[in-house]
Amino acid sequence: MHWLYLHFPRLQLDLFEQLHPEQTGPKVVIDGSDNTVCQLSAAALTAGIKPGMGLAEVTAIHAQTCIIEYSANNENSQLEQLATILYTIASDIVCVASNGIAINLSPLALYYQGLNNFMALCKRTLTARHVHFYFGSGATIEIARVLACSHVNRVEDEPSLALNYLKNCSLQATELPTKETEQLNRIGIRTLGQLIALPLDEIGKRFNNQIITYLLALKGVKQPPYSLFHPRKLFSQYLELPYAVESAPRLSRFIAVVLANNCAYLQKRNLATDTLQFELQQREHDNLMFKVNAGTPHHHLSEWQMLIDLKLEQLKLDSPVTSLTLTCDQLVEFDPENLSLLQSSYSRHAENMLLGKLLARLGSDSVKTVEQVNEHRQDYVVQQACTLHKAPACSEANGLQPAWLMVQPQPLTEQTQIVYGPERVHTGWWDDHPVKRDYFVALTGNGLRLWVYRDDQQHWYVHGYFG
Amino acid sequence: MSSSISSLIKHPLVFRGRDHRHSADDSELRLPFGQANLDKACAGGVPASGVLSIRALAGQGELQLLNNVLLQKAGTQKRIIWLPIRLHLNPNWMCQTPYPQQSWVVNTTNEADALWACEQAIRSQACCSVVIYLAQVEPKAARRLQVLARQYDCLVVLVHPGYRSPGALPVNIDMELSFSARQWFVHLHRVTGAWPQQHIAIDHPLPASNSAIVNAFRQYSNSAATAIHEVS
Repeated sequence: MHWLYLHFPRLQLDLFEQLHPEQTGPKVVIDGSDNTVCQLSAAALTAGIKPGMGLAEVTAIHAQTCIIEYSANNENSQLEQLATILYTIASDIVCVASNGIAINLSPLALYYQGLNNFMALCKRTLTARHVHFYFGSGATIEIARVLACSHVNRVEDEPSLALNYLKNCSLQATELPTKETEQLNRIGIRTLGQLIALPLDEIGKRFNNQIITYLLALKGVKQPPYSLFHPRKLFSQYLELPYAVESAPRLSRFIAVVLANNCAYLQKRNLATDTLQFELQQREHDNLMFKVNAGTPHHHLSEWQMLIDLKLEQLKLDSPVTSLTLTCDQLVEFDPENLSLLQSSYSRHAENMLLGKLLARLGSDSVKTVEQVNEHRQDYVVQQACTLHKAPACSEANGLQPAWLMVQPQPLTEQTQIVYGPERVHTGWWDDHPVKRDYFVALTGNGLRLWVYRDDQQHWYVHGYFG
Repeated sequence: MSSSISSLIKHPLVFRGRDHRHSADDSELRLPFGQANLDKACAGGVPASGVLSIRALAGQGELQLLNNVLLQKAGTQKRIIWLPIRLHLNPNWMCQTPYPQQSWVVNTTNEADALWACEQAIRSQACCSVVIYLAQVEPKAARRLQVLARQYDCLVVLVHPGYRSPGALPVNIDMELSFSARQWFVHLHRVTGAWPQQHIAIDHPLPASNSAIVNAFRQYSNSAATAIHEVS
């Protein structure tokens, strides 16, 4: 086996810089567990900040340093996105820890006719994602990982050649626990070459089995088992915001990042969706969930962004949002027939785009088509009226019908003249809502054409208007 | 000096003869109402694209007047958008019209949203017609819709009471429906291609009436034919 290991030392910082390109000052990511710097920008390095420094030391060195709190969830989500992207160019992928990806190079050398070709493609893919990375290769993932963490940045044609570089790597680049590393340092063992040279029997007397297993992997004798990465059947991405966002429209720039990933995911699989689900984690309230619907399934970034912006304009947050999750699970195969922009005549595309905009801004039940309601009690017609996306052919006419109905009939208070009627409606005796009414058409002094009825109590009500 | 005149003539309440002359061009498609007097006064009917403002209350038979116009626009097979704010369109009535499958009813809670939806519908080029009910219309909003509707070849029917729009709106046709002494009249406040005109009598029948029965009773109660009901 021949493995490539990609080490991403500053995933969270890369994302922050992507979201805030205008911030050029020193930036550090602080690990909340021990309050030390775990990731830092080039500007922070120039200012004199070093990894492992405490928060107080950082602010003492540079008071204007931008502090970002480390989030393992955020890095895992980003790593998964990177693995999903790399899955399009490589088959056997393993996600290691929260900042590493291992790729099995053995089948790729043949497929890409040389490892250099694959590496060029891999570097280009990752560079396009604006992430910093180091890489190394070896017979096992552990060897490749140590070389990547030592910034070797070489891929040998033969995995055995990697051992030459491995010998010079320090123990700090390995996954050995700190306690064992210090123990080895005390007896003068500082490089992997020195450690590997020791007989395993002697090491086994002083260290536990995990260390032995790890050393076997470093020697290229035995590869510990790893489960291969498989992209999800649906798209889901979690994004931790660099700061709490108080206003919904300001979420747009952050949503744009995950949305771009989503659209790329769909395009590469020739899929489309008409529903995106968002979950906003609010700082002081329950999570806020909402959906954005498009008129037709598609995967166009600009159109989704527009719909989401419309939705965000209407959205009210209970408290500032600290992170968000985009989920897209209603996937259909992309049908380009629906999206023809070149037709000079009427196209469904325009209609679907309009529907999407209306739904996004006015709500998912705001647009309705017309469906005949088989009910003589017009009170029910208003409640049951219309379903979206469905416009069945109407059957026979349902008698005299006013254009406008009142949700609740109102008592008739003005003077009118009866011009037509009565039409008796006597129905509903089989359920709890019997109706016995005599309907009339009445005309008011200013020409309003009322649809009025008289109930069995001889009370008069207005129920609608003839438009 | 010229700039001040220019800003003056841009005022929505100023009637501009140049526009009047251009729009009177014979090449512009007009959709007749099917009412001879009204069509004559409107130089043949409603311009196929632009805004038709009807000052009427919902329930005065305004849709009946529009029936012929909407039917012709529906021939394009594009959508007809209904924007009834605070009103409920009867789906069974809609199913009796010739264009139920082309219709979308868009429910909005306020007039700003309704105007936004109207504008989006026009811009989408997916709609042949938009029927919008508003409580009041600002000339600025009417002008905006007029420009858009002309640009995107859409007919916008703006139904509003007209109480708060004292002057003629800057649209293709601004008409008022009134009922007086059992007769319906249309007052044209503004028409492109023709002059404003008042008291145009139109035939605006009721959706149904008992007149046949009343006439029959009247006729038979005064004639010898009533004898057939007599029992000898």
